[in-house]
Amino acid sequence: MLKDAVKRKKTEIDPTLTEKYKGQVLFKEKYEWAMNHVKGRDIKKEIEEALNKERITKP
Amino acid sequence: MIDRKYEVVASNDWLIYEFVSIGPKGKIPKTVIYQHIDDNIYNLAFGDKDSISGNIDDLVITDNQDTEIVLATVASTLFDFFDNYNGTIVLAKGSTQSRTRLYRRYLTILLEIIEENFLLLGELNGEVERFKKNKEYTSFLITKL
Repeated sequence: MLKDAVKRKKTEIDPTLTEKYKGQVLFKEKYEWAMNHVKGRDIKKEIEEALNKERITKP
Repeated sequence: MIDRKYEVVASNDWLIYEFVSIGPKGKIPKTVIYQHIDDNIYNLAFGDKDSISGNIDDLVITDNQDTEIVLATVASTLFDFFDNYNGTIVLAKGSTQSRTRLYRRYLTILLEIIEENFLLLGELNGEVERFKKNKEYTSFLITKL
């Protein structure tokens, strides 16, 4: 079942992971895209406005 | 049908996750990372880890015939992330247009389980709205309900 696939299961911690990638910018291109994409925007407000709009327009 | 996910290990700060894809191409390590972008915004990125160089590539086409399991596994990391980063918003986009289309397709499949736990929104032409099936969103926003 789909739900069984995604549902919660205790995730193990690997304490070496943080250290392993320390100081590295992974997925640099996507990271830069994301930085530019949110620059000057208030995403939280945009989400709130989208939900408000949905409430108003819902029959 | 998606009926399982891979075992995941997480970093101490719950921002990095690793798992191993298993298929005809062998065992391929995958890394999922939530990158801090802005105040309360994190970018979700994931890709294959080269077992020799350790470099991570989000453009490589693995073709390990387990896309559904991989994407279900990535989706499952959202639970741990939001448990530890309450009040944040996750931004997601494919590394290519075809990947974004693929994510859209799987988000549609996973919509029921995602919407039970999270608020999923799509972005199209600068407009944000609650995710709807069959819309050509260019990026996605996920936050905890």
